[in-house]
Amino acid sequence: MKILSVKKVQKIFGSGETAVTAVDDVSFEVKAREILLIMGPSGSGKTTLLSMIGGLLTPTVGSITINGTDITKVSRKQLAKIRLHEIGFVFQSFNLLQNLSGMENVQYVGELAGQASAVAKQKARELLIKLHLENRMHALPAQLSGGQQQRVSIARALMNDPRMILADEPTGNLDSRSGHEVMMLFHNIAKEENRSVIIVSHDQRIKDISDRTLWIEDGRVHTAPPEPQTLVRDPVCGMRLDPRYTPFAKMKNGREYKFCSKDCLEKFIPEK
Amino acid sequence: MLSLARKNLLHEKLRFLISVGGVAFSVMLILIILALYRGWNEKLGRYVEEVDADVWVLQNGASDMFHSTSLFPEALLDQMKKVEGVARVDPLIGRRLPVEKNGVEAMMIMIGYNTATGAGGPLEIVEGSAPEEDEIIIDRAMAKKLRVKVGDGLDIIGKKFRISGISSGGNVITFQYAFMRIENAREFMQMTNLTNYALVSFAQDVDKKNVTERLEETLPEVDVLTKSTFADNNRKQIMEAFVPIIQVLVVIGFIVGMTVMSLTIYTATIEKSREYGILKAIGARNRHLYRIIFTQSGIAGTVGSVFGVGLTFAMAYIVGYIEPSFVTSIIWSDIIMVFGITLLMILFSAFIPIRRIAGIDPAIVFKT
Repeated sequence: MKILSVKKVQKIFGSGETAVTAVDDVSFEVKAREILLIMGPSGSGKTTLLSMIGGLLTPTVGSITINGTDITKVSRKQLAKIRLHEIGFVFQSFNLLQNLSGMENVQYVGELAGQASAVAKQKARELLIKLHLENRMHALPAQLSGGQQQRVSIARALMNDPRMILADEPTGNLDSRSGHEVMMLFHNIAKEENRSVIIVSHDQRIKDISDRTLWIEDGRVHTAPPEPQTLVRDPVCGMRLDPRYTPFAKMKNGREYKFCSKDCLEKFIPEK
Repeated sequence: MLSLARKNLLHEKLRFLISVGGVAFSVMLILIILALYRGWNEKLGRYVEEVDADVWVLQNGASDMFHSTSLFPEALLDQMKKVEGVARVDPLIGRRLPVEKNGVEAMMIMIGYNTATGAGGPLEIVEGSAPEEDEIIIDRAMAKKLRVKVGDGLDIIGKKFRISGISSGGNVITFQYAFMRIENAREFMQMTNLTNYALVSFAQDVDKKNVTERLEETLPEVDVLTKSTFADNNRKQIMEAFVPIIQVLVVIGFIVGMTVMSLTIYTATIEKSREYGILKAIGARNRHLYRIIFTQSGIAGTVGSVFGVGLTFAMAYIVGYIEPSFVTSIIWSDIIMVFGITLLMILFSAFIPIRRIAGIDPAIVFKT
C-alpha cells in the first residue's frame, strides 16, 4: 500500500540571479512497512526534501501525496491537521518541550489532536512503557540521557498513530549503543506496526535496517552511493562515514579525524 | 488540557516573579494614587458636611472656605433667626493661620465656634476637652506633625494658647482645622460684630427648600448653601488642581506595568521560539500558540493584580501610620476598574509576542 508519493518535486530558494535550486526533479514512492533511507552530503537538499514531505515547506514545482492527499494543494489549516495526524516527526536534537516531563511531552501531542486528557495520558504511558521508559517518564528532558530523550521523541511521534514517520538524523546525537537501539525501534515501527519510515542520515549503519537508500547530491537523486571501502570510522561512536560528505572533522597530530555529529566531535580525545 | 503556559511560567520562577512584581507595583501605584485622590476628596468636604446644622450661610459671591472670603455683620444672624422654620443660628469664624512649633511649620484653619451649642466644633474630640478661654483644640494630624500634646502651649501669630484637646476628622492634608471659643476668636481675629459664616439649623418637619428660599429672600446680601453644595465647592477648588497630576500618574502607572509585562512576555516568547516552532511543526495551529501566550499573560497579570491590591492596602496602612496626612480611601469600584484595565492592557501587551509567533517558520525544527 502506497503511503507517500513524491512526483517531480523541485524547490528553488530566492529568485533571479540569486536563485538556488535545493531540490530538483525528485520522484519516489514509499509503501507501508517500508524504511527509506535518504543519504547525501551536507547541503545536498536532504533536509529540504524532508521538510517538504513533512508539509513544512511548499515545493516550487511538483506534488507530494500522503495517504491520497496532495499536501501541496491543501490549506494551511488542513496541512497542520495532516502533520498532527498523518506524520510523526523525530529530530536529531530531539526537540522536546523543556518544561514538560517526558510523559507530558507525549501526552500533549495527543491532546493537541483532540484526545481527552485521561485518554492521552494513558496512551502516553503505554507508549513510554513500550519504549522502556517506565522509570523515567516523569523526568524533565534535561534529566534524561540522549537515548532516553530520543525514545520520548519517538513516543511523541507515534502518539497520534501516524502512517508515516519522518526522522532527521535520529542517531546523530546518540552514542553507538543508543543509536543502535533507536535503529531497532524504527525497524519495529515499520515492520510490526505497518508504518512507513523515512530517515535522513549520515549514519551508514541505518542501511542495515533500511529497505532502500536514496542518494541525493546537488538536489538530485543519484544511483551511485560511495563504495564501502572508502568509508571511515567515527573514532568516538564507531559509525561508518563517507569522508567526502562528513560534516564534522578535526586535524590532530597531523591526522584528520571524521565525526558523525558535533557531539562526537566534542567528546573526542585523541590518542597520544 | 495540559497547561504549557502554566508550566512555562512556573518553571521560570525569576521571570515569573519579575512579571508579577511589575504588574503588582503598577497596580499598587495606580490604586494608591486613586486612593489618595478619594481620601483627599473625602477629607476636604468632611468637616463641612458633618457640622451640626442644615445650611451654611455665606457672604454673596463667596464659594468656599479656602480660596474666597466670606464676611458679613453679625446682626444678620438675628434676622435669620426670625425667618419662619429656622430653629437655631450659630456664628462661625474661620481663618487660615500659620503656626510653628519645634522647628516645624504648619498651616491651620482656626475655627471660632459656639461652644454652648457645639455647632461647627470639632467632629470628634479624641483626647482632652472643649476649649476654654485662650485654649484651642488641634487635629491629631497636626499634633503629630508639631510633636505637641494636650496641655502644651502653642504660639499663634504672637498669642499663646494652651492645647485643651485633640480632635479627629479635621485633617485636610495640607492643613488642619483647629478650634477655639467664638468669643476668643472675635477678640483674637478682631472680628467684633462680624462673622464669616452662619450655621443655620431648621425646625423639625419643615420643608427645607422653602426655608432656604425664605432665608435668601429675607437676606439678599448672603448665599445659603446646603452642606453638600458647600462641601463640593471646597473640594472642587483643591481637587481641580490635582486631577491633571493624578491622571498623568495613573497613565504612568499603566505604562510601567504594561512595559514590564510586555518585555517579560516578549523575552519569554523569544526564548521559547524554537519550542513554538516545534509545536507548529507537529501540527499545533497558531490559534493554539496564541492561547498559550494569552494564558501566560493572563496568569501573570491576575496574580500581579491580586498582589498589587494586597500591597496597596499594606502600603496605605503603613504609610498612613507613619505620616497621618497620607490620607487614603480604597474603594472596591476602583479596585475592580484597575483590575479590569490591567488585564486588558496585559492582554494587549501579548500582541507583540503573538506577531512574533505568527512569523516563526516551523522548518526551524530541522536546524540543530
